[in-house]
Amino acid sequence: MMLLLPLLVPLIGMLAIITTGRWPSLRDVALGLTAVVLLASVLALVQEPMQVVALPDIIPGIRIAFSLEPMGALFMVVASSLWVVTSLYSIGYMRAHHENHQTRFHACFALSIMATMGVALASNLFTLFIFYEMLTLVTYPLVTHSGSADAKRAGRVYLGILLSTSIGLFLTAIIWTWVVAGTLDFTQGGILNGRMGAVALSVLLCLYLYGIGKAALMPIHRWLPEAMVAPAPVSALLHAVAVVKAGVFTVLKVVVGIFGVELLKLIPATQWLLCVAGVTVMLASLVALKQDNLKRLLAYSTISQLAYVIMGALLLAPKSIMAAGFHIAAHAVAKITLFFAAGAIYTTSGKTKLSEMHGIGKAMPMTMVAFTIAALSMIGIPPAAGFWSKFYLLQGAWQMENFAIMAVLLLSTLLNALYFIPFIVNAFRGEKPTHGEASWMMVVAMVLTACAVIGLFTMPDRALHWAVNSWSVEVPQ
Amino acid sequence: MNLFLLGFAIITIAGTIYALPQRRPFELVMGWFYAGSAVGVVLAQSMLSFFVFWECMAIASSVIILCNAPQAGIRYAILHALGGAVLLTGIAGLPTLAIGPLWLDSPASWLVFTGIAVNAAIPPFSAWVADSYPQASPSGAVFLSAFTTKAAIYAMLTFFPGEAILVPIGIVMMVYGFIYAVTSDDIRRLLAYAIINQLGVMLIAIGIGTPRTFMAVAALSFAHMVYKGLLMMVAGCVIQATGKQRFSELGGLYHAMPYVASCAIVAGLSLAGLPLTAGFIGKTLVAGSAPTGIYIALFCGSVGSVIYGARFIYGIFFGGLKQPIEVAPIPLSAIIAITLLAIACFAPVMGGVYGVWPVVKALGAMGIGLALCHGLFVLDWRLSLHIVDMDWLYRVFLRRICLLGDRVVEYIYGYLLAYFHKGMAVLGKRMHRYCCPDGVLARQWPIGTTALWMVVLLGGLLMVYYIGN
Repeated sequence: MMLLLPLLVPLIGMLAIITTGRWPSLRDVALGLTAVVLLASVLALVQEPMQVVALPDIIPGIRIAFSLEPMGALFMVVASSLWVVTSLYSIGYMRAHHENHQTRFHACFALSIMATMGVALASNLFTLFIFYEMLTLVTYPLVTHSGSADAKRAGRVYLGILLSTSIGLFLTAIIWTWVVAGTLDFTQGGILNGRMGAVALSVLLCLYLYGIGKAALMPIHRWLPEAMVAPAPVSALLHAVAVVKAGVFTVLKVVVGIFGVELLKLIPATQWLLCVAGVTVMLASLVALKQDNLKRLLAYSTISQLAYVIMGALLLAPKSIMAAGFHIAAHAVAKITLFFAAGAIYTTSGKTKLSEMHGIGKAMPMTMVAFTIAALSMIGIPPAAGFWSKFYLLQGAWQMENFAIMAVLLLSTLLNALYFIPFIVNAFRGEKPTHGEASWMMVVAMVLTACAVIGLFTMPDRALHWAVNSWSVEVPQ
Repeated sequence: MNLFLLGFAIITIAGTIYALPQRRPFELVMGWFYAGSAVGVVLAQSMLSFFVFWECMAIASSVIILCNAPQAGIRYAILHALGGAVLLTGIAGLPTLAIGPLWLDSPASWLVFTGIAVNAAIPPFSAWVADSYPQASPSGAVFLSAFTTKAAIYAMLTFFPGEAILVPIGIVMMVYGFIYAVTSDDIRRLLAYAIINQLGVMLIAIGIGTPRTFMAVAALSFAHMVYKGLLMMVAGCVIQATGKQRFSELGGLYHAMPYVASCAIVAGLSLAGLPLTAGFIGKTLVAGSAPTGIYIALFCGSVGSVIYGARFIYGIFFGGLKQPIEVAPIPLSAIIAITLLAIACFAPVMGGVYGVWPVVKALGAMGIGLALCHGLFVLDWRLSLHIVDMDWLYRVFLRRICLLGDRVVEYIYGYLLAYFHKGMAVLGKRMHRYCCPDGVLARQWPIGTTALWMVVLLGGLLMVYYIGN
């Protein structure tokens, strides 16, 4: 039952936040406490992976079941530890902006973390789907938090794309899988072996990859830039870590646990979808190059980096799947830093456009240094975590002798450098603005995540170890 | 390897002393980071640590350039990020991560070669040297001139010793560097192209590939680091003292700064490879094991280096003032640093390489070079041109292509978007017409019509089943 702790802790935390909502200080203490307790319980849990909890069947063969496998452990540790940092940051951010409905905000936040934990722990597709949908629904109030017409419009796009893909395509694919295989458990080597023809499998794979809209494979990526109307902590934790990573995590689980690597090697659609992922990497970077709004730029950069993970998964080389798992962690810590920095700049100066931010680094040196470190990780230059994922992706590409993917990675490096470096340089030139750094809580949060970027570079062993064992265990009957 | 490390150390010490009056301590700190990374590159025991230090070097040097010239720095940083990525791609494809000679027989080692070639300033990846070095701060240029290119030479020596293709590449670089050096008007631009010229000599030596030439590469690199650092310092002193950096505006400064001028002459002698200097040992070692054809090329290269060296010294310190120049005093730290490097130019004396023939040869090259140079000056040298370099390709040509592509995409996208919106508007209007309160679909239908349609539907189904049976 230990396994259910990561689900129960945020739930109880949410109730605590609602009950203490009248006293903001108490509520924020409850929030911080919840995050810390969650992290502690996750850390205690992952010491011994491979545990299983199953609830009774809902209909024969389908049930809600949880198990802890290495990749899920990695995802949980990343999400829960970054939630601690984000709590710190979001308390500072929400107070600095005197936002309304802070209790609702923090409660939904806790709930979405619970959904994320559920996705990480799910041991079959049915459970995963439930938490996946829950994540979509509970993040809607967060995206539309400001309540402006713009936010509502963006929220409609957000819900529209995510729900229509997941119910229209993902659910169809799940039902089809269940009909064919008779089970939905993630199993190493897949559950579809020898049960379907190549064409049917190709269609099924497309249904999965486009049904998992949270992975933002083009052309169903539009919801992510739209979601940037949300407050910065939401963009930081949810749209750089929890929601999008839940998407690519699901893709990885489907590739490894439903299809199986060996089976996918025989399907033509794998190659097409690999091309789609490569094109997504390039196009998203090209679009990012043209953005003037910092958060939208980061959103397109996220789309491009998510496609790295999908590319790694579909390359089907052991090294590249490891890179894909590791990139979930590496990209998470780096992108959250970038969003923290964007939010800090917005809080202190009210600026959202790149062209207005000349000289901002002189006023906010800590923020911009953290930003720079994270940007290095995006480009994939040491000493930053993104280097390892790029390196292992390249090794995977060499293993499969896929030169097109190498070219994509090279060009993506160039494009990333093209949109990050001039911005960073301009931030350190020009006139010094009159304001200073953001509140200490936000600065501490940024420094912590920037240190994590470097820490993951210097000590990638544990994360790589978890990423390399990325499959699930059987649920005992 | 020891000579590389010694050279790095000397430049770091001298460069630090030289940079002491700098207003920006951050730049000096980056200089140390830069030096440390270069040492790391030389000492690395696996490809991964090699690459990590290689990239640290790129970051540090970018920051040094960025401190003074943001635009050039951005170009430098992006080019080196790309070069690093190519190198990493190559490393990822190697069968082993141990450091050792690779042969140019697989795509992976070609990629490694290309990645290193960017830093070794092999054309067509050479334009960054002349683009960025002249725009760095005076003290920054000293650090820059020593580390990146020499570390690349070390890498070439370690990974591709005796690779025959390096000989023609080196000769091309020698010619290319010479032509641009003698025609450039900016004093530090001349030095930047001189670096490319001398890198060519080192690559030729690596390409010849005998153990003796490998020693020669180390000796040449050491000598080059010292005298090029010295010349960069001299150029920096001149720029700081006069505020001018063009040959067309400078001249006759000998009387204003005799000490700096004499140190520049020392560096020039080492550049020309005169006996008793560090440059002599390197050049003699290379020439000693070169086949005749390459030997002649190297001799011509020596003459060429004398010509641009003489131009540098003569153009700044002699030949009469073109216009009156106010000369500020030179700081003491600069004098100390220059002295240190000038001594280092003479320091290494290796007995073995001295013989009659090399000395005669060196003096001969010097004589011919000076004579040619004198001739050119007599003929009233007006070679200060700005010839377009390879960076035109990416600074202008590629940029234009990208802008054009951007406009085309935008046009098509806008067109499609307009079409889409128009379509949606038409659709909306239709929907409205049919679904609005008095539209066709919202009207009340007579029961008879409904019954008629039901009959048609059922009749159709009956037909289908009839045919189906």
